[in-house]
Amino acid sequence: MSRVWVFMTTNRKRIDEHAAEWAVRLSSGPLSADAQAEFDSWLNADIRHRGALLRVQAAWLDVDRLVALAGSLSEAGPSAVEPPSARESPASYPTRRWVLAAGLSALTAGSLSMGWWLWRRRDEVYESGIGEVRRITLPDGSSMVLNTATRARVRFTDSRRHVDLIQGEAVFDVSKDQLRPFVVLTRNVSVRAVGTVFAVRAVESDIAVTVTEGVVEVAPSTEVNLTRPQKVLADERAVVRNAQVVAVQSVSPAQIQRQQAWQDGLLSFDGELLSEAVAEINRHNVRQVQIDDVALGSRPVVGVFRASDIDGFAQAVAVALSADSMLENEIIHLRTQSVQ
Amino acid sequence: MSGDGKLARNRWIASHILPYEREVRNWLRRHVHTLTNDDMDDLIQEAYARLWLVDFTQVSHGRNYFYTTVRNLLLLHARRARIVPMERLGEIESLRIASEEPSPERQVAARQDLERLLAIVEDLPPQCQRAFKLQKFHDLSQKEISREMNISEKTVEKHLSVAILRVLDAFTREERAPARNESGVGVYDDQSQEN
Repeated sequence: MSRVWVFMTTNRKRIDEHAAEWAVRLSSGPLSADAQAEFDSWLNADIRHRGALLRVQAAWLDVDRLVALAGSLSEAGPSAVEPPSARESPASYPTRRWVLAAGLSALTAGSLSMGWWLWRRRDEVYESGIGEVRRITLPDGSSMVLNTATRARVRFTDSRRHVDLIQGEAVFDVSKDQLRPFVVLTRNVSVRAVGTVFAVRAVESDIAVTVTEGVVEVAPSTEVNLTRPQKVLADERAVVRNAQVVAVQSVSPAQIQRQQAWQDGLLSFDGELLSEAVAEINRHNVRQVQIDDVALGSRPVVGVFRASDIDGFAQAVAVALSADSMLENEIIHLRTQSVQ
Repeated sequence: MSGDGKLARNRWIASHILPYEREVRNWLRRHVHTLTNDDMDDLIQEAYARLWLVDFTQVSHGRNYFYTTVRNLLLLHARRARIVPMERLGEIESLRIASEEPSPERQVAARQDLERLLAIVEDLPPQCQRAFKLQKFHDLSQKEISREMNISEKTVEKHLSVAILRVLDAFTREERAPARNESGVGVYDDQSQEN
């Protein structure tokens, strides 16, 4: 039996080599005009060139990820304060990442110690898919519930508990530990708690922090703290826009419960605009609802829906608001019924 | 696409596609016996090429996307080649995307990746290894490496590109480059680069 297909071009290993060379050159800064032209013509010569380039660039970044992982291992231990061996340290240039290099030499010293480093460090990324709600118990006994399409990285050390909310929305139930503050970082906002229950939502351009129990401190800009952190108490919500706390409103426990009904797989609306309700349920589903006329979008919606049942939602809305609902290519269109 | 956009895309590929390449290759090897290694490399490169313009924020599951793309490409080429008996087309069409294999715990996986990376780096030719370490572990620029090692920037680039290809191969292929001259990388001579 012959091969399934034959490509025209031969010598494919050269493609990888060229891709690697370009990836390295691109990583060191913008190309000169000549080099750019050369690069463009190489890139456009064959569709596989793009693929090969993406693949090498991804590997290049993946090495950075692993190196960062090794580097942060050194945060935990004593060898972090030792500079790297002379052989690895360039004589004439300061080693910007000598701490990291120390971490690496500690690793190469023996896999036993490496196992220990890695055990000490609990750095994990948790993700929920569309329509999924995940409840995660963290190493300190705190819990984290991820709403649909959410990613969070958990970085715990002996001195701090950090969670990067990369995207989406999560509710945190933090166990008390005065010595290790629990900090949620999202975009350029940090939310610091000692022992509390609170939710962080980074879905819209504004970031919302809602506190159910205890107190948290919301500080825009995680790097240099020029502004005083804003205290947010139980039954309050802070809204952060453009790295500034723009509002702290009080919210009733009933409202909070309603807004966090997603934890039980439900979405509860109490007079929200249809456009807002649709945006919310769309986040939970692959199939999407689209409102075809603006007037319909500004009608209020009341009701409790299964987050995963977008068809049921559309049907109920159609009946309640005298709209037509029509499925086309995985999109449910809602429009006001035409008057016959 | 802006620089940031490209970086975000490449990061996405690094975390959502690259980790599954080895698995996809194994799946292909198991199910499409007629595929040569070169065919497979072409196929994989083409699958990555499809990601060039894709709005990755709309792709919810990178692994499934990768499998589906590879399967569609397989079909496309099989149809084009016209040498494939019809039942084979049917076979490809009905190829099931492998259900996610129970992966080792993330920590264990990260540890294995790190171990493997360090082992590969230790295996690199000396000059190449030094350039790679200076760049990736010490964060020196290529210009700085060139001064540090007293070699041209061009040679630094060569060393780095050889290193990254070795790393990539080790992470995505089943065997670790058994025939050195087959990979094209093995024939690279570390010491004879300066002329």
